[in-house]
Amino acid sequence: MKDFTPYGIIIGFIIIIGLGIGENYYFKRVSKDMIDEVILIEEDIALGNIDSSIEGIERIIEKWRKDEKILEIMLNHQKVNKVSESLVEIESKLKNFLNSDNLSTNFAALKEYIKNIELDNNFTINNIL
Amino acid sequence: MLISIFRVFVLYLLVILVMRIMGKREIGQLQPYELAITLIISELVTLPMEDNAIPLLDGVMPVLTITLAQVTLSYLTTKSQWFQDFISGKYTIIIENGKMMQKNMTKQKYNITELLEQLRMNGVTKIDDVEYAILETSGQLSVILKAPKRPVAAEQLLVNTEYEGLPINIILDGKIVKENLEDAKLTIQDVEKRLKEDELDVEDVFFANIDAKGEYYIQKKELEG
Repeated sequence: MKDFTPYGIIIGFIIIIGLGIGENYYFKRVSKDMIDEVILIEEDIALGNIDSSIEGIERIIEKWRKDEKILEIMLNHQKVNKVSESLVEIESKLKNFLNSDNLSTNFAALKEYIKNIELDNNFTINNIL
Repeated sequence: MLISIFRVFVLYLLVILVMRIMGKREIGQLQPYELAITLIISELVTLPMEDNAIPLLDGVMPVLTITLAQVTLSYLTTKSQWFQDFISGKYTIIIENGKMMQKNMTKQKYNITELLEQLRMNGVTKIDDVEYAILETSGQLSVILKAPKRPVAAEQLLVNTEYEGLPINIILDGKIVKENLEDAKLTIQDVEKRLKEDELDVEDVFFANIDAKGEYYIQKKELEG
């Protein structure tokens, strides 16, 4: 009988490495899309377009709710929750017309949380060590 | 709570599956690298069991990866003697012709007390009786006695022995093991007929098997209460 073990081993490695690469690609895409959106909202606020920025944050939250479900399968829930909480806080402050100085700190934190999703999982020597 | 219970079940099943894939070995028979893998797996599944914030995949993927690595190593060790020696090491002779090999013992950090204990466990009390004691790669000591000290075999006494074969289980806890009947060249009717001789039904039997000579061993179920 033919021994299929080497084929199984090769297929197994392809699946595992493929899943790893796919996961990293997904983190990168989510992170980039989110940060692009956040930058747009920051620009709207700087221009005084509060209504547009509220629409923007609602759009991000809606998108995040979808990504969150997938990210929670792969990431520590605390990391995902940090982004969710930060988004909700910004939305609440925007809707209550709070000053933009305060919001810039929130946006900086949000961008950091989102970046970390990608950076912590990048296949780099730093992360490996 | 429910989440924890479910996650524990999933991880438990995963560990069983992984152990099945890795093959049947007792802890004492594991090669050093197999023991290391077993310990790592147990540690890996503990984290997602304890903390629900850690995704199940964080436990599952490393376990699957390490299983794949283990299967790869095992496969390579079956294909290459050099690789086998590299991964598992080589056996070491500890006693040769009744004499302890002190250099080998020092090299393997194997002390006399340990050696004597292992010899006693093999039913040997005198080092002089041992032809060879070999420390296997799994860490177990194989003891080969000198020819005059070995138990006498029937062949040496020129005694004819009959083929015993392996008894085949026919009934387990009141149920006929149908897949074994074919191996035993029996039908259900044959079994029932034999049981009738003892005025028994299949349901009354706790265990029954048949040996190569066609002789049955039957044990009745104990009465409840």
